[in-house]
Amino acid sequence: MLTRARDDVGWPALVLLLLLALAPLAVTGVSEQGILVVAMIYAVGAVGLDVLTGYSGQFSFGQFVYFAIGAYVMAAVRIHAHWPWVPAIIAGVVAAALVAAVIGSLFVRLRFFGSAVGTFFLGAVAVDLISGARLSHWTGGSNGLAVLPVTIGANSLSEGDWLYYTVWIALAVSVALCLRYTKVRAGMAARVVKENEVVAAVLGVRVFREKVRAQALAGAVAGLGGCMLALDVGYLSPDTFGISQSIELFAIVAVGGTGSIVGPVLGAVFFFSLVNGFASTSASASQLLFSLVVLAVVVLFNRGLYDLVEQAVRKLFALRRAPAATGAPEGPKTARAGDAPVAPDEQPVPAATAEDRPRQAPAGPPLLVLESIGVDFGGVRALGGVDLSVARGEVHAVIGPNGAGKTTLLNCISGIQPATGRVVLDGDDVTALPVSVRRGRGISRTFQHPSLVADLTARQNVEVGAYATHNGSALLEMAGLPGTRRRDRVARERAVAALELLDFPASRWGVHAGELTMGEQKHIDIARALANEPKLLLLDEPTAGLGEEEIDAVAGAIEGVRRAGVTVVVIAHHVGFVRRIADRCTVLDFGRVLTSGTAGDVLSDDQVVDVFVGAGGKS
Amino acid sequence: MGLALSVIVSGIAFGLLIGMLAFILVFLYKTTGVANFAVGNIGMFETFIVYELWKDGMGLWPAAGIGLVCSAVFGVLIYQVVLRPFGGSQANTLVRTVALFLLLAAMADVFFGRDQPYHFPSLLPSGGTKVGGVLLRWSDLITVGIVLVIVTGFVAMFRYTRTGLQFLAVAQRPETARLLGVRATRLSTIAYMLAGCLALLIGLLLAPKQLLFSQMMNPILLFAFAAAVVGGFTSLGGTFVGGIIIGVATDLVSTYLGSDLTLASALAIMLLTLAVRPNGLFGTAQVRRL
Amino acid sequence: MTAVSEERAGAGLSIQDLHVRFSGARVLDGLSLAVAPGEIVGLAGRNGAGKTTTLRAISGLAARSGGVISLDGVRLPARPEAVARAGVAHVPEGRGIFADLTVEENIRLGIVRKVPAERTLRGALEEAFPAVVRLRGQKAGRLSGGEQQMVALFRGLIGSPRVLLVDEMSLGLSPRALRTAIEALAGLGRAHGIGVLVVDQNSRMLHEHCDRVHLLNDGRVRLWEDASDIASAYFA
Repeated sequence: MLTRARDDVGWPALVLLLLLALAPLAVTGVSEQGILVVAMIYAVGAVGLDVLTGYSGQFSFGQFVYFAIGAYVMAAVRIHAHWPWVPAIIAGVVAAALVAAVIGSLFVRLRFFGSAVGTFFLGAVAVDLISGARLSHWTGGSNGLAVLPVTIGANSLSEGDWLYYTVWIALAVSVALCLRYTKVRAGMAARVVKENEVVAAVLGVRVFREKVRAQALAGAVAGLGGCMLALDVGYLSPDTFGISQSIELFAIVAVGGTGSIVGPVLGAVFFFSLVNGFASTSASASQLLFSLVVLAVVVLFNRGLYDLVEQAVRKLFALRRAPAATGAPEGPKTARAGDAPVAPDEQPVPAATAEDRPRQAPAGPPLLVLESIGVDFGGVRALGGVDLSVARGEVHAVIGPNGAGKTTLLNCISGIQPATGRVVLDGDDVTALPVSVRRGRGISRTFQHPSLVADLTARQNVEVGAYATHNGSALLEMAGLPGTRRRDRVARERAVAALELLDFPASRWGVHAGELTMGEQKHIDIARALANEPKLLLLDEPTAGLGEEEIDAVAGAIEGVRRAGVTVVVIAHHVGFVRRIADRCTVLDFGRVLTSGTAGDVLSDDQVVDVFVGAGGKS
Repeated sequence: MGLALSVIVSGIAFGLLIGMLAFILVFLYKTTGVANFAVGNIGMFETFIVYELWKDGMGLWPAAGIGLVCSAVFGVLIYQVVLRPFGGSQANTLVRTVALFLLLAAMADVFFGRDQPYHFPSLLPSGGTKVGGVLLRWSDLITVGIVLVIVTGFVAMFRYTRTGLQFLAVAQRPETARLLGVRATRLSTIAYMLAGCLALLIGLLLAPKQLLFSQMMNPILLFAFAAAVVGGFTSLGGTFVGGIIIGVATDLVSTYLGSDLTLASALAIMLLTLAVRPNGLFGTAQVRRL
Repeated sequence: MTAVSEERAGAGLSIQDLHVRFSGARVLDGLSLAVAPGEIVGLAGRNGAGKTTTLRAISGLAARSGGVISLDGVRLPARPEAVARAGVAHVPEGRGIFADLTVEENIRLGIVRKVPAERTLRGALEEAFPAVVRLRGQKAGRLSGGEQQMVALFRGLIGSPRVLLVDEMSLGLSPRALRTAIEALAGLGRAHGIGVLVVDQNSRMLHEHCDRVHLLNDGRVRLWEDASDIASAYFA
């Protein structure tokens, strides 16, 4: 269902829009053209719903509320305030976007399921309100509301070719807006949110804001769809905007294929051709057929029509690209050695351990100071007053047995885990700052499970890390002003720099993250964390689940990071690895610091050995 | 005052029906991982079957009995044919239930819906009694009784039968339950069988009050969602408390403020609950791991 | 590499050439291991070495990409519930206690298959874990970590499995509670012919109580004979 989102649909979108523009030449019947008009009107909103679902991972079963707002606002301001039709349409769209933003900001607090229910509810409530007496001055209540005719010269926009091409333009605008959104920073950030909200926040994405933005965009284009619907039907009545329509719209997106922009348009055309094809028998029979088709598609072919068409076209033109990228590992044997990017100048792996490096951390105040950090999990003391000081430029390892509180400590530093005590970075107390702001202050981190966005390429994932903290208006970003473009170019350069610093093979930059090996994913995770040039890099078990060669490669990467002047705090279990990379080492046991010192000293401490192999219950 | 109390009493009876539907939602959510949007329409469709049998000259009670058997089979079919094959993600299953929601409404329209809405005969006696100026309808009192019996039945099942215990185990820790040999598919099938029967019961109790037609379950489904959220989406018992709160509140709102605000008031209660207690009155926090 | 003599190769749990991958990374890479009836075997290794994955692969919770796992000469099915019914009990990471159920209900869930020996086994278990009997009516979520571990072991054994898998035996246990638990486990296993595979980071405990200890490293196991040789085992 939530299949991979695409960003390579520009050409297919153009082809489909052209076909629709030319359709009146082939489809000459008045009623057939009418069907295409309705299909395109639904498609205007469906494309926005796809942005919401396919790219930002949210659900809406109430999208016709925004159709209703667009239609009613447009009709009402023309009747009551005598606005011309163009400003009236703009008013309808803006009103729908604003309401979507407000309502969206309520619903995004609900989890996956809650927002599905909430929007469903909203759809029903809206119909009650529109048909009720309370708003009847504006909406005409259950009697409905006549839409004043819209004309250009002597031509009515409510009929014939003029209607057709007005709606077509609306669809083109909607598709263009939504496509553009998926390309800019805001759209990329939304895709990280869809993948994992906590990871997104740590990358500096304002999760809440990005979700509301997607809601607003979806609401805006739904409002535009509503205006077109008003033009088409000429008379607004509450049951035009019921929950059934909302659910049909969702079904259209699901059948067309989420995360493809083009799919929902296909879905809408398909739906209305189907419904109409059987309209002669009875309206409910065609509904029955449609719901059967929807069910069949989601059960048997859940990737939707777009995927089907794409595959067919590929087969037809034999456009099938070579499997994955050419740089892909060919077999399991090469996968290990080949994918582990080790800098040529570091081979053979230097036997040098941390002892050979300057032992003393540079003078000056420490970069990170933790003061009595404490965390309770429902009465269980996960961290009991941890003090830690990390000097500028050092690699500081945190080791300890399972459940000692290492990841919890990292979560406290990056702000995911609320804790007592103080976190001081570079002399500033950051304890009170939320997760996404700390990233901007220079705290980056990686995760035990890398949580990359599977449908973005390796390089794009790193770019997200470089500009996720940026925070401008999504509208300005979509306009592509010089400032934004400069900013994005800097982000891309930083991403490239991070990838090069880690010696990630350029042949693998364009591979989708879902197809990378675990070792490569760990590298990309580190690159993503480095891409906004942090002061402090937190690495959570960068070696977990890796083979020996891959561990070597990660060690090489960390040494590169260190040379670049970034301070590193790393959790690890592999003692050989710790010995190789760490300047200093802190041992946690049962949520407390057991000992802290130079890596060599700590690792030869008997007490530490005990903890590691488990003498159990020391305190 | 007498009116308000009467409204409250009928609100409680309606609230228990809401609670029962909410209970089915949460029960299915806990055993199969997905709350089923189609559950109301399942009840609607089954009620139509009973109506058709009755219209063809069968007694109402025998028709209801046959309907109950059909409902059990229907529930199993829905799980085995629609929801289980090629079982995908949570989102995919959710969309399947939405498609089922559309399908059942369309099927009802096509097969039974020529002259809808229909008047549906009541299984319960009409009339009532006055206690201290408050009108108590027999149908409301019996509804309360039926719900109490069903709740007792479920509590007994959870406490005293092995299958009931396995339901609780799957709901709490699906993975560990499998390690203990619990066959989740079998449990889900049973859950859908029970859900099918309960949904019919709700349909039979509701249809006499508000006519029988293909969209009849939409409002109560929404109320049930609200009740489930208010009760805490993970708490089976909380659903009935949530149902009573929603039932009484919406009854009062529609009596005193106007029926166009009933849904809005339920939505408002739901949102308020989420704002004040995000996990509902009885729910427990769900910890998310990285 | 494992010291499995010919005559007991058929009985008990046998794992041959087990492979498990997670998104391309090889977590287990040709692991072979055997646990005979009545034998208690330890599996040590540092964090992230794949100990938990080994147990999950046996139970069918982790998909295996290669290898044969059989119990008493019969290949184990792939689905966890079927593995459990075939006679493999698994005390998972974090113990898998149902916090909202009582101790007695937790234990009832452990009776996976009808076995005639249930009554005698229950008697032995009640003798070995008296605390569990005392706490019978309590909600399991209220119990201390050590008590929960007892319940989990009780629940694992009450179904009279052929093999019991225990993950992170020592997690959260005091040294004394750990000693009591593992001694009871070893005794019961021997008395009733149940093979036990214990996974832990605490190699000292394993060496003290197990018949054999294997070390998991780089996706394979090797027999760890010299208990004092910690440096080469963990600090490599």
